[in-house]
Amino acid sequence: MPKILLTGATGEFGNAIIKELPEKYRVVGTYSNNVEKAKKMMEENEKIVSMYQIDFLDDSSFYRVIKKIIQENTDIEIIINNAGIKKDSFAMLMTEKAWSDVMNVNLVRSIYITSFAKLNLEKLTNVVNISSISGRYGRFGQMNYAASKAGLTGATKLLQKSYGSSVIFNVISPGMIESNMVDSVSENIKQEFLANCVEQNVGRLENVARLITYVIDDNNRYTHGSEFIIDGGYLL
Amino acid sequence: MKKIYLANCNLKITNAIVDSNKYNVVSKDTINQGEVDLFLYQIPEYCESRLLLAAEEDYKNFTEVLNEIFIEVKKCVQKIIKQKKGTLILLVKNNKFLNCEDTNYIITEMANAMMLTITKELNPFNGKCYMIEFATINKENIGKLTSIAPKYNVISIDEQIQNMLSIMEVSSIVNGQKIKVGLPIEIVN
Repeated sequence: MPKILLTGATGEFGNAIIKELPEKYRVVGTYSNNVEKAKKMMEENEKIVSMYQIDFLDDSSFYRVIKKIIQENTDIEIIINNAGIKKDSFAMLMTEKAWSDVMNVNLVRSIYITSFAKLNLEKLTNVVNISSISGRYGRFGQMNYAASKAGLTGATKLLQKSYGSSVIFNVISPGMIESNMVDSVSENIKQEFLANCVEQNVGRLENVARLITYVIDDNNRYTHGSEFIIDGGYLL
Repeated sequence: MKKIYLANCNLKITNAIVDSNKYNVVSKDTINQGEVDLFLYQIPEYCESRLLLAAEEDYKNFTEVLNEIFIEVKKCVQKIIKQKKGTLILLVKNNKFLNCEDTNYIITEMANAMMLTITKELNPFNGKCYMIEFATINKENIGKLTSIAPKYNVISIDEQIQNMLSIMEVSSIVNGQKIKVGLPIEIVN
């Protein structure tokens, strides 16, 4: 049974990914602070074999727990770097903390996890990074988020080129997806998105989750360092 | 003469700006004295292949570089918004996979997203932003170009800087774009 390391497992995306994964997979998840939810998810879902609490914003917690996860799960074959945060603010008002927190969680930690795993997991074959189309066109009040996601897309290609074909790296860039993260987006931005989106609707979590299950599937061949955009046609 | 603020620009670029006799260069200390027309920020290069070796210290340095970029960009954006005019030009190097472990590609992609966001945020304040991308010229690059596509002429760094100066002259009509001033390394692929 292929084992997956899924970061941000208790979030909405994480939840949707676990639900959509075929039964053959087993999941090692990470979560930041929702202990109760992590416990409940483990009780309710046989696919989850373990959950680790980790603070992506704290160096010592992050490095310690990631190393522990890798040491205790040497049979991980797939990594889904899904953990992400946003701290929106116009560039002129953005604090250094808002910048560095978002860059750390969304970009820097994902590169570390992948690099560390590549060095220590013999069975690793597939890495999927969750980016965003914000990185492709920029968005008001999201300089940190857009930069981090664009960096992650670039990092995916770099990692693929650096590590060769032994591991398949891909990146998925969702557009506006129905979630808590999007609920906090202003009505103006939502309307602008809908007006320019071929689908004329926001996407659903399961749309993205299903794409991820396709990308990690054995039937997905010959995609290396590819960016899969799932945005209802917004970028057209 | 237009006033220009140079941030982190290397000696060649700085000299070319000064020698053009078209700009008054504003220093860090005098940036707040009067209005500035152009802000030229050479984004620091980050080429650290050890990032892929997962050494914690290298990740700390990487984060510091990212923070440094943010601080400088924010300073320029604040000044442009305050004076309700000005153009921020981000200079980056495109080393795309010249070296298989070229981590600067991450920075280049990030800078592009920053440029797009800043363009949108500066627009209501009569501010502009664009990015100029240099192609790195080195032996490996030239070797690849001439072996795969001999008809292409490599554009030297000096020529690229001259291209940059030409673009800067028309800054009033450039906004939200990434402009390559050298031969794009992508054609090698």
